[in-house]
Amino acid sequence: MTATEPRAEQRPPVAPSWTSRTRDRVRRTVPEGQWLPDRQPAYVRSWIYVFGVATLAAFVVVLATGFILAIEGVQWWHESSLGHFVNSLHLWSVELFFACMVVHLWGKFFMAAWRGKRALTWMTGVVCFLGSIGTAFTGYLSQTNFDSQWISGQAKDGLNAVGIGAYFNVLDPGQMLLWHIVLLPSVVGVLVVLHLLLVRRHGVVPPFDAVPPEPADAPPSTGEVTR
Amino acid sequence: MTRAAGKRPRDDTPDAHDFPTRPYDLVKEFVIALAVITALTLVLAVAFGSPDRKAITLKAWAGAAPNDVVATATAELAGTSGSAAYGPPYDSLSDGQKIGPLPLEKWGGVRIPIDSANDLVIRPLMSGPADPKLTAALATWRGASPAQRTAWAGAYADALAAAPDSDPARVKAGDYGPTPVLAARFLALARSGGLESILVGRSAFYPTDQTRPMLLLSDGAYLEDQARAEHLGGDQWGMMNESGNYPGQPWMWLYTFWYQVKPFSTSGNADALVWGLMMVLTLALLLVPVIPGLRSLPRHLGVHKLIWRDVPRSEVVRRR
Amino acid sequence: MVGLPTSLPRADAAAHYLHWGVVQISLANLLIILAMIAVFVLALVLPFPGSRSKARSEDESDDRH
Repeated sequence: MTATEPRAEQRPPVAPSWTSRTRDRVRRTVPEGQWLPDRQPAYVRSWIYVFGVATLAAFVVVLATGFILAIEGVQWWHESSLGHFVNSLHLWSVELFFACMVVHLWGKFFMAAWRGKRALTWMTGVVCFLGSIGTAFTGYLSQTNFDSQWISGQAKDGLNAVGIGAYFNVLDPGQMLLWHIVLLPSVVGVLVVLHLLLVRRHGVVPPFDAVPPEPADAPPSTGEVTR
Repeated sequence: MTRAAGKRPRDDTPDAHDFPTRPYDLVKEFVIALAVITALTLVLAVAFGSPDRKAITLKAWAGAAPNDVVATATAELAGTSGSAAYGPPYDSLSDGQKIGPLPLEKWGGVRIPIDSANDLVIRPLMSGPADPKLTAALATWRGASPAQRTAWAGAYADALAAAPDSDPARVKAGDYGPTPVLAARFLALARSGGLESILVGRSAFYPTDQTRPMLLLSDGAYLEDQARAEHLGGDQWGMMNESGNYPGQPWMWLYTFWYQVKPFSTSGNADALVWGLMMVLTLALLLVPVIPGLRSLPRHLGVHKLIWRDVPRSEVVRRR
Repeated sequence: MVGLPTSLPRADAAAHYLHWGVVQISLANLLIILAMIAVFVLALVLPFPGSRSKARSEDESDDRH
């Protein structure tokens, strides 16, 4: 309770407002103290666990390098060696992003990380993967070079074959660029936030057949327990 | 807790928050990850750079493969090019691909109408530089019936195919109407460098839609020849690949795999069928948590034993 | 294209492709996939700092802190 909040018994009873309901909903989404805890379950003890945060870090580098490319526009990297270098950074951060994401997916699969009400965590992760593929695809189309020509010419056949090409014209770089830098990254961004929220809500999945030890057997806690 | 013999109860995974914990610095972990990834990115970018093969302009195409330009223009006029009777979204001259009985391509509708002969060849010629011979040829073409046009252009296309190196200068004499003049002037228009603007611009000042020049270029053999030389063709696992020695898109391996094998490799509906199959597999990946058998596969594969081998009994008790 | 002067393979040179039956894969893609598998396996087998030996000594010690 803060100094500015009135004491509970002094507040007259009021029907819950949309605001208070939203605030309570947000509070309940993640258990108290779990938004950014300074402790982890002790069974989180393997290098496989770093690939989620590595993917997130790579995502940040992808966004940052893309941001720099956007400052100077679509043709910059063809004309400037600095621009070309930033493009190279963007390409390799994307390769690292996908590599880390797939290793993360492998790890989560072998852990059956969807256990314990975590199905939605898995699913948001898969949709992040799919959204990332779409974002990368529109990125290739936005290169305005030979690869864009070939990829768009080929992709149009696949998308036209199922009726999507009528609405999503891969031969229009203006449209594809906006999907690449506005629409798809926003969707991927929202999904990443949801995915992280779910991880914080449910915590890291315990090992198969694990139960917490009896209090007598549990190791002593060190420092403040934020539960 | 009792269980029916051999049947696992519904998911009884305990709450992660009930387990013993140890200090862990998430923010520091993220900052370290960011530093490592940034360093790796820098090293890879400095070492390998990125590919940037210049786009093929229509002028470059005309310079490198003039006979291909003439043959392509002729095919557009004859209605035999790839874009000519493509089907939706460009025209309704064919129904396009299906998955089984479902005409998905047709359902998309003709939302990007292109008339290959007129939009890609005749109208550009009409808006380009004129000379008496071209003006007369255009008048003859536009005054002829569709059947006559097809006959002329079709015959010229066959003659070009029969000529050595498809060289228009070595074509046998025949009744081709104005087609040879139109095709030759089209090549000259491409060589001048003005063809993209005419195709894309029409009456617009800021066009971005490259549909027309791309359809024209894709109708020719040159673009595909260049791509195939770099293993970018559909039956070369091209979807995974990149120009030169650069890494491509390894994550596309399964999508492109189906194009390499029957029945997809020999089917006219390959694109639609592969897309449909990949949608089903993607749905399966998404729904792993709820698919019996698949969702319990990781337990049996046992890789998890490696992951959690270092967890002592004081932190986790295994029940059986 | 920025590139180191000598030792590393030129990424813009003609590509190397490997063929096994219907499979064709570029050397670059193959190396990436092999590296990912290697990293995955290493992540599983390399000990994580603060693992078993340290935990065991905490169990065995009588200090409550």
